[in-house]
Amino acid sequence: MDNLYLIKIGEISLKKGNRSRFEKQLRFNIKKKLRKPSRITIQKGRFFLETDESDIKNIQYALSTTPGLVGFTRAVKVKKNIEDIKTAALDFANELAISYPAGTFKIESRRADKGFKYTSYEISSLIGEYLLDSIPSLKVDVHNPDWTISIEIRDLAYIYGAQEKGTGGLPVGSAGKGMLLLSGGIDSPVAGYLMAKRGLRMDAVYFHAYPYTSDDALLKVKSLAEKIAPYLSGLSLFVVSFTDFQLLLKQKAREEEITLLMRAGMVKIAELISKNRGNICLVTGESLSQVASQTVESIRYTGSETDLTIFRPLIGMDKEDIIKIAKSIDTFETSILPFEDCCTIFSPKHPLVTPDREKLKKSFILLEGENLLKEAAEKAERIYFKP
Amino acid sequence: MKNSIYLDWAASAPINADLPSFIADALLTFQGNPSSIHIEGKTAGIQIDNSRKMCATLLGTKPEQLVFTSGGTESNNIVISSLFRKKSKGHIIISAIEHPSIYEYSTTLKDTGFDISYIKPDLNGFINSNDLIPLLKPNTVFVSIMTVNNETGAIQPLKSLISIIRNFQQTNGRSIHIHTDAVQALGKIPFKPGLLDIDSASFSAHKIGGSKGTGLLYLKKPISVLSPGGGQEFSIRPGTENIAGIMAFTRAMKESLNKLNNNIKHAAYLKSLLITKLLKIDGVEVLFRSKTDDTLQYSSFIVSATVSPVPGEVLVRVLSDECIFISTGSACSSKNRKKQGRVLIASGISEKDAAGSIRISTGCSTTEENIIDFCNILDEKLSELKKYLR
Repeated sequence: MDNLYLIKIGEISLKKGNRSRFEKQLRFNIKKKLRKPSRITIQKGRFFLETDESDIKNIQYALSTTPGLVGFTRAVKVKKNIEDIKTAALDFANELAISYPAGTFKIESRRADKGFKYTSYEISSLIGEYLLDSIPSLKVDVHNPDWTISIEIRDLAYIYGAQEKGTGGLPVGSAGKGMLLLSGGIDSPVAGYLMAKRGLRMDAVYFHAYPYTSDDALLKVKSLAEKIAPYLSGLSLFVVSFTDFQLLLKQKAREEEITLLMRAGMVKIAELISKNRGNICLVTGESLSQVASQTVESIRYTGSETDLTIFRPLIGMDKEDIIKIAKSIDTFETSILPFEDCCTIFSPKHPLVTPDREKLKKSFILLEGENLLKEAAEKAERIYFKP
Repeated sequence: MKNSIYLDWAASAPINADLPSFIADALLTFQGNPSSIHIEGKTAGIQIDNSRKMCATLLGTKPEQLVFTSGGTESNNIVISSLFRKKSKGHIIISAIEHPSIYEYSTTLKDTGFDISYIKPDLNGFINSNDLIPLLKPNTVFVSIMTVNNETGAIQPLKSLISIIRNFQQTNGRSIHIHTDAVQALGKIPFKPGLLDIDSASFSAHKIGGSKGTGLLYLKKPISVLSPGGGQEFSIRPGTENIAGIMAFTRAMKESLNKLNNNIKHAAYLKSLLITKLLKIDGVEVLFRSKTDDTLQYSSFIVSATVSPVPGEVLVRVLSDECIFISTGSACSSKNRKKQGRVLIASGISEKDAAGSIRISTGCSTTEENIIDFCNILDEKLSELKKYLR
């Protein structure tokens, strides 16, 4: 196989008895993303990916969007022969010198095979000298280099270039399955991303109220689903036609209660779909007190309308911090497109901020909307987004 | 497939039936670069010169006062961005009902040191002389007032506004550039920029049956612009010319202006029929119609109405599903609500009515049957929508 990568795992290495389960999941998730045959071996806590995939950008994207690994670096393995090591190191140096034309560098060597005739220090010196002779613009800086080339002498000699950052966290699928309530806003894609990093596999559900919201809003959500799918190791998006339930609210609910009853309806539909999908929790992008439906009292009410646990990973985060993450996963620019997921006619001027839970539960029962919710859940359209 | 009813001519008119093949022929025949000195280039250049001459005749201008552009937006942009070239900044008056291609420049102009006043229309959608006079200052250098508003259809009293500005200019001694966005005026009202005492006017081809991506800028005198290039269009709008588009625009303009009186008469009849029918539909209120004063002038091609509390945007989608195409000036999004309904709100329409606003605009091939069918379906769909909305 042509391409070799060294993958560094983070939190998985802290696992004890069930570590192999996490490793297996990570291996599966990485291989799922690569188009060509690949093999992943584990040696002393390190993952080595060998793949026929030749598109380096695709490999790097696949690895950088896979929760469970903290970093990765392209590597080559050569015979334990100093001349071969020099050639391989020069190839990396030539690549890196493009980014840092007058850059400083360092060689880091480790000798696991103590039978190799040079010590780690000698390997670093020999290769460093060779690179300085070959590329005169380079300078050595062992304390603060622009880039580092690592050399490890094991069964073979492994040479690594610059390390790229991974997502961190745990592999998706190692922590059960849930349902993400995905709107077109900034928060919910970030919530999905953060829960994926904790190992949760997810479906997503979007509530579409055509013609009260435009198909552009739906396209926006599909685009967000596509953007977070690599982090979530793929996801099924359920598009629910929510219009009839919203109209029922408009007709029968007290205006100030509409938003919370609508949230309750969403939670109930998400729960109904979850039953058939093996999802045992819901995930929302709620952040405490961000809007009226996200006060402690409002959250307590909406949470009480489902038996499923609701995870709210953004609950204590400031909007600025959420935006930073949204930008880092490339969902921000899509989220701020001006296609709203809720028409103003369903947004009361003065929504309840400190609702009485019992009163709202009664209001929900009085809507007599169970059949509508059930029908909406049954008719939801499923769209799969590959990782 | 249902027969479609297209009532969004103010957004874009269907291309004249003869133009697609005319454009295809022009594309094949005139392939040289008009700036080239060989025969292919020269022949192409001649087509542009001839088009310019024809447009000049139709608009009452000199050929060298006309610059072909990519549309109304670019024409407006060229004029307003030329202000950045001015060494001494001054005072600018912009009407509150301008197209975003002018209105949205305000912040940048302010940032670069210009003082800006906005002139609001009255409750009928008209800019009044009495409101303009107190805004004029000794350092006023630029005034922009749209000729026909694309949302309200109000035809602004340009002549009297121009006369006030010029009188002020004469007393004050500092020249004032008067610009008008005439995109909704061309082919809809008698309008010849060469016969008005204005400095610039913008036009667009696709509003009168030409192809998209072609426009025109009338400039009484050349201006200093921001974008350099190869010197085309008197260096006002450099870039290789869209020969086929320009030729098609000229042809469409000729046809439109030759039939202007008939087209206006036809549109006025349809407008009257439309308003009569709309007034009978429960839940529709016609905005900006001359209720009491016959001297108020509105475009015969535009009817603005509100279906509040039904959001205009929702109605547009429901009608679109029925293959009926109208537009809305506002949106039912909770964000940027004011920005979306800016023109209507500036014209005294409440935020609620602006959110429910729709615009129906007709053209030369709109039929009486279109209007009747539209009103019947509107009535039916609106009563369905209203059932749910309190």
